[in-house]
Amino acid sequence: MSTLQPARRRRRSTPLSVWLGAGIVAVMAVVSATTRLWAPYDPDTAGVGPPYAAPSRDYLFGTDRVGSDVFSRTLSAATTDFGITLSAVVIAFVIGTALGALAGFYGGILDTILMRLMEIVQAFPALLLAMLMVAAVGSGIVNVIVVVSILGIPNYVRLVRAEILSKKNWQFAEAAKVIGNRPSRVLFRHLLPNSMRPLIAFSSINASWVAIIVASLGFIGLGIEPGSAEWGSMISRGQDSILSGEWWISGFPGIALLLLSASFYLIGDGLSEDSPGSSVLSARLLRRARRGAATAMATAAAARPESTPAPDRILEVIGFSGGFAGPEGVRPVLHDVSFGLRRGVMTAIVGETGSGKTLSALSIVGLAPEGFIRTGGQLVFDGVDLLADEPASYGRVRGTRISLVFQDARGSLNPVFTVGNQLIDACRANRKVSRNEARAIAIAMLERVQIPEPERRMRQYPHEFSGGMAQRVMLALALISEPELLVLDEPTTGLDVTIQADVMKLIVDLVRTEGLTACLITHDLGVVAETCQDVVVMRDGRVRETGSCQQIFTNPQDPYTAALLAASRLVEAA
Amino acid sequence: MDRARPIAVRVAGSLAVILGVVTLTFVLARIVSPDPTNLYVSPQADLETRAAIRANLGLDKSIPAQYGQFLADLVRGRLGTSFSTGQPVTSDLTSRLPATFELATYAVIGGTLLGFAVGILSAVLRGSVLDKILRFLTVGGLAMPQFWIGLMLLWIFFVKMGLAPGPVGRLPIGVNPPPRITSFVVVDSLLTGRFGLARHAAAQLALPVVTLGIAVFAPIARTVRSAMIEALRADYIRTAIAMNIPKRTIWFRYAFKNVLLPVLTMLAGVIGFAFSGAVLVEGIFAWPGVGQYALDAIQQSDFPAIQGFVLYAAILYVVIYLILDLAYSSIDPRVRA
Amino acid sequence: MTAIVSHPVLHVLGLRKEFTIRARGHAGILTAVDGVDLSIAPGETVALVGESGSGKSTVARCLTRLIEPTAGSVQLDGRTLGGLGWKDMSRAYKDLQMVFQDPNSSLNPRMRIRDIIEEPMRLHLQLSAAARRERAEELIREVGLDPMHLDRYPRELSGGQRQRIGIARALAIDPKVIILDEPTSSLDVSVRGQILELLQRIQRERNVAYLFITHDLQVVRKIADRVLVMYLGLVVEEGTTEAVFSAPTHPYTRALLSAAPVAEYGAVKERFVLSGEIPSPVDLPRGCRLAGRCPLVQPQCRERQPPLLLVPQPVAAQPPATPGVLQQHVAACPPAIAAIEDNPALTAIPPTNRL
Ligand SMILES: Nc1ncnc2c1ncn2[C@@H]1O[C@H](COP(=O)(O)OP(=O)(O)OP(=O)(O)O)[C@@H](O)[C@H]1O
Ligand code: SF4
Ligand SMILES: [Mg+2]
Repeated sequence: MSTLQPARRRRRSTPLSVWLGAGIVAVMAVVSATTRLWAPYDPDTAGVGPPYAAPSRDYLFGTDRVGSDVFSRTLSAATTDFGITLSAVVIAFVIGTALGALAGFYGGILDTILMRLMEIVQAFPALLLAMLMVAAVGSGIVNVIVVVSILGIPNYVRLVRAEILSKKNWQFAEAAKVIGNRPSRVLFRHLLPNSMRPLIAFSSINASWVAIIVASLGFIGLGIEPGSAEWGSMISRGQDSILSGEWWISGFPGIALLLLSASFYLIGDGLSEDSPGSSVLSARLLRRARRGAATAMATAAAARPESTPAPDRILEVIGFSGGFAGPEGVRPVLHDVSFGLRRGVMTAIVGETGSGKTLSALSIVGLAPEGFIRTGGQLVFDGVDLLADEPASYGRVRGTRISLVFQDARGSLNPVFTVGNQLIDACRANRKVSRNEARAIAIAMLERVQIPEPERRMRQYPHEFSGGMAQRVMLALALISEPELLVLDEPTTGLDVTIQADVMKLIVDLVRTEGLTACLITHDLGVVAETCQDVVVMRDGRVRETGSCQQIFTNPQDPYTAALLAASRLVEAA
Repeated sequence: MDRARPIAVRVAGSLAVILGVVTLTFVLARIVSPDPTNLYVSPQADLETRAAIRANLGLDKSIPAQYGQFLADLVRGRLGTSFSTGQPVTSDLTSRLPATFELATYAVIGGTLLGFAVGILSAVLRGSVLDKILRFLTVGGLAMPQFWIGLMLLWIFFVKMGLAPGPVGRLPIGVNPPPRITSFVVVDSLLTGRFGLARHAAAQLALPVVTLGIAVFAPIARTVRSAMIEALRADYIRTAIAMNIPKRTIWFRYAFKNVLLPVLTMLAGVIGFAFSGAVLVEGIFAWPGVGQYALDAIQQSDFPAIQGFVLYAAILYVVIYLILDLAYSSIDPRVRA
Repeated sequence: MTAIVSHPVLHVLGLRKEFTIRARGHAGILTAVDGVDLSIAPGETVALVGESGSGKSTVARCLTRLIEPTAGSVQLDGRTLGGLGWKDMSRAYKDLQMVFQDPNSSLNPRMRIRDIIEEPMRLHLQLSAAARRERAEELIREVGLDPMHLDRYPRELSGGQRQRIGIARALAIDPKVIILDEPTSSLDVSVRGQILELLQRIQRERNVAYLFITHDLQVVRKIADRVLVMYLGLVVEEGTTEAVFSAPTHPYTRALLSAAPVAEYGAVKERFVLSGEIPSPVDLPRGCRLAGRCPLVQPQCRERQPPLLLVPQPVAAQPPATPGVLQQHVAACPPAIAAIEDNPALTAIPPTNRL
C-alpha cells in the first residue's frame, strides 16, 4: 500500500449501515420479547376473524385459511425465529471459536483432523444436511438450534483458525510469550481479543444466514412443531393461497424475515468493510472538504501575483498546500511547499517520517492518495501549470514526460502479468511503436539496467525477481517511455545494504548518461551526499531549507538540517 | 486450501472427503430409518414377509457388515433402488439431472454476468448514488429467502400480471417435449425448429431462473466489488496510472485479472449450490430436478435416494474445487507449481 | 569459540536451525543458522550484524525459544536451557528478555500501557498492586516518558515512544540479558540516537548485557563492544568493534562497511563492490558462501567452507573490550588473511571508508 501511512493509526469509523442494521435488530429484539403487548389477537387461536380476510384496520396483515390473525402470528413468530437464530449463532460462535483457536494455535494432529471433518461437513449442500439431521434427530426448537449451530461451526473454525495463524507470529504475540505467559494465555488474552472485529462481523452475516435456514426448515415442515407460529411455516401455509391471490399470508412473514436477515447482513457487511474512505460518513466529509478547498483556492488565485518561472528549471512547485479530509474540513499536511528542479540535475528531497516528501512528489504527477485535497499552489512543468486543467494536463505528461519509480518494486509491479508484458504495455502507451518494436525496446531496456539474460527474464513474473532485480525492472519501466523527469521515491529503501549501493550506482549512471532531470526522495542523508547536486529539506509538511548539496552539508542554515545531519552522523555525535 | 499440494495428494484428499460424506449420510440414514421395511410392505404384513425383505435388503446383517456391503455396491456404481419410485436411483438421478442442469446453467451464467457488471460498476463509481443503490440491491439479494422470492415473483408475474406461466415444471401441462438432443428443452426445441415450443419452455424457465439467479448474482456482485476496490488501490495500479496506461486497460486487464482470484472461490461455491439442485426453488416451481427428488426422498425417508443424491452432490463439490485449484494456478503465477 | 569469557551470562554453542520448506511440491531444507557460537559477559554489548536472510533474527528467536533450535546448547547464567517446557522457560524469561523490531506491532493494541508494563511483573514478581503501580511509574520515567502515558493505548503514542515502552516492558523484571532485534531500524534517525543513548544509560545503571541485532553499522560502532558478522547463517568475521571496523578482513565485511553511505559532502568512497545476487539459502554453494559474488575468489574457496582464522594484528594487540573477555579478531577467509600476511599495509583502509 501507499507509504503515506499516518503516524498514528486512525480509528476505523463505523459506517451508517451498521447503525441502521443494529437499530432494526434492537427493535426486533424488543418486539419479540414483548409480543404479548402488541399482538391484538391470540396468535394460536383460529377463527378470530373470517378466513382469508384481506389486510384491513381490524386485521393489519389480514387473516389466513383458518381465520387466525396474520399480524399477531408474525409478531409471535418473531420470538421463535429470533430466539432460535440468536441461540444457534451464540453456540456456533463459542464452539467454533474455541476449536478454531486451538487448531490454529497448536496445529498438529488436532488441526488436521478438525480441518478434514470441516471439509466433509462443507461438502454437503447446507440445507440438505440440515434437513437430513433434523429428520434424524426429530423436529423441535432445541433440535433445530443444535442442527443449525453445527452447520455454522465449520465457518467459525476456518475463520478463527486463519485469524490466529496470521497473527500467531505477530510481534505482540511473540512478546507475550517472551515475557513468560503460558501458551493458553497468549492465545486467549492476547491473540483472540485482537481477532474479535472480523469475528463479530462474520457472526452477523452468519446470523443472517441462520435466520434463513431456520425458516427454510420450517417451510419444508421439518422445523419446529408444525402449526406453531414460525415465519417459514407461515409462508408455507400461505403458499397455495398465493396462486389464488391471497398474498398476505406468505407476504408479511416473508417481509419480517427479510428485515431481520438484511439487518444482520448490514451489520456484518459494514463491519467487515474497513476502508475509511468508503463509509457513507467519510464520503460526505470528503465532498464537503473539497467544496471548501475550491472556494479558498479561487480566492487565493485571484490574489496571487503572476510569477515567472526560472528558465533553467523544468519543474517549479509554487506555494503548494493540501491536506486530508477530516471532521473539521481539511486537515493540512503540506504547507506552502515551494521548490524547483533544475534541468539535468539530481535534486534530493529529504525528510523524516511524515515530513510530506512522498506526498509532494506524488502530487507532481497527480497521484496523491485518495482523500488528499489540494488547497492551493501551482505546479509548473516546462512552462505549463499542470493544475490549471487537470486531469487532462496530467494525461499529457504522466508516463510520457515524467516517470516514477516507487519504493516497493515488487508490490508496484502487477503480480499476474509477466515483466515483459508490462514493459511492452508501458512502451506502447507512450510511444508510437508496434508490438514487436516495443518488445525489442523492452529487451534493450532490461539490458541497460543490467539484468542478465533479458529475453528469459521478459517471460518471468515479478515474484520471480529478487528485491534488487525488481527495482531494476521498475527502473526499466520508468525509462522505457524516454521521460525528461524521473521521480524516485525511496528507490533503495528496504533493499540490502550491498544491493542498495549497486542499484544506487546504476541510477546515478543512467541519469547522467541520459541527461535526465531526477528528483530523489529519501530519508538517508548519506545517499544524498553521494548522489545529488541540489537538496530540499522538509519537515512536518514544510520546506525547511533548499540549497546546493555542498552548502547543505557544510553550512546548513536551518537548525533542523543541522540536527538531522548530526543524527545521521551517529558516531561523531557520540 | 493448500494449493501447493501436488495433484495426486489433492485427488486422494478429495476421495477422502467423498468417503466421509457418504459415511456420514449412512450414519444419519440409519438414525432416520433404522428399519425401512415399512416402506415396502403394509404395516399388517407378517413377520416372515418382513424378515424376507430384510434379508433381501441386507438389513439382517450387522451394521459394519451393512456398511461394507454398502461401500462395495457404491464402488460398483450400484446405488440401490428408490423406495418411493421403485426405480434404480441411478436412473432416477440421470432422468432428473437435465432439468437441474438447464435451470442452473442459465441462472449461473446470467447471475454471474450481472454480478460482474454490477460489482465492477459499483467499485469504479464507489461512493456515488448509483453505487449505493446497487449495494442496497445486493444486500437485499443476499438476505432474501429463496423460497419467498419465488412465491412473490409468482404472485406478481403469474397471479397479478399474468406475464409468466404457473409453476408446473419445464413445459405447460399437456405439451410434449422436443426430441432429446442436449436434454435442454429450449435448446432442443430450437435445434429441431419448434420455435413455439421454445417460447413455452423459455417462459416456464423465466421465474425459476430469476429466483435462482438472484442467489448467484448477489454474492458475486459483492465479492467483485470488494475485490475490485482492493485491486484498484494496489500499488501496481498506481504504477500503471503513472505509466500512462489507458484507464480501460487498467480496469479490464490490470485490475480484472487480480479480481478473478477471490471471485473464483465464491463462484465455485455458488456453482456447487446451483447444480446440486436448489432444493426450495425446484420445490416451489415444481421443477422436476434432483433437488426436488432429494426433498421428496428426505420427507419419505427414502434412504437409497438420499444416499445417491448426497453422493452426487459430494462428487460435484469435489470436482468443482479441483477445477477451481487448476483455474487458480493458471491465473496466478505465484501458485503455479 | 574465539572469544573467551570468564563468567558468561549467556553462552551459546553450535546453534543451528533448519527449516523444512515446501517449494514446487517437494520439500527442501533451509539452513537459516549453521552453527553459531556466542558468549556474552554481564553488562556487555555484543552486536550481530548481517543483511536480511543472514539468520540474525533466527538466532534471536532460537535463544528466546520462539522457535526450537535444531541443535546447539544455550546456557543462561550458568543454567542450561534446552528441552524446557513452558514452565521452565517462563522462569528463564525472568533473566532473558527481548525488545522487538517493530514498535507498532509489538505492543498489544488492546492493552493500556500500564497493563503492558505490569504484565511481566504479574507473571514473575510477587508484588502487590500498589507496588506494581509504583514500579510501572518508575520504569516509565526511566525510559524518559511521563507517567500520564500509562493510561494511554499504544496507538496514541509515536513510534519512538512505543519503542521506549517496549524497553520498559523488557526492564520490568530486571533481566540479566536483553536481546534487541533491530530496535531502531523502523525509527527515524533523530529518534534512533535517543533510543541508543537510553539503552547505554540503562546498561550503565543496571549492568544488563545486550545482544544487539542490527544491519546498521553506525549503530554497531556506537553501541557495541564486540561484533559478529553473519552471512547466510554463518559467522564470517568476529572481533572487538575497534578491530573489525579498523581492519575489516572478510570481503563481505569490507563490502558491508564500504556500502554504507556517509552523510558527508565530498566523501567519495572507494567501494568494495560485491556483484551478483545472494544465493538461495535452500541450495547453498558447497564452499565459501560468498564465492559467487567475491572479487577475491580463489579456486580452493569453492571446495570447502573456510574456517575462522586469526587475523594478523597490524598494530599492538587490542586491549580487552570488556573486563573478563578475551576477544580475538578472526575471519573466515584464507585468501584475505594470506594477503595481509604478505602485506600488512592492506588492512589500512582509507579514512573516509570508516564509519
Ligand atoms: N519460519 C520460517 N520458515 C522458513 N524459512 C524461514 C523462516 N524464518 C526465517 N526463514 C529463513 O531463514 C533465513 C534467515 O532469516 P532471518 O529472519 O533470521 O534473517 P535476518 O538476518 O534477520 O533478516 P532481516 O534483516 O530481513 O530481518 C532467511 O532465508 C529466511 O527466509
Ligand atoms: S574464502 Fe574465497 S570466496 Fe570466500 S570470501 Fe574469502 S576469498 Fe572470497
Ligand atoms: Mg530480521
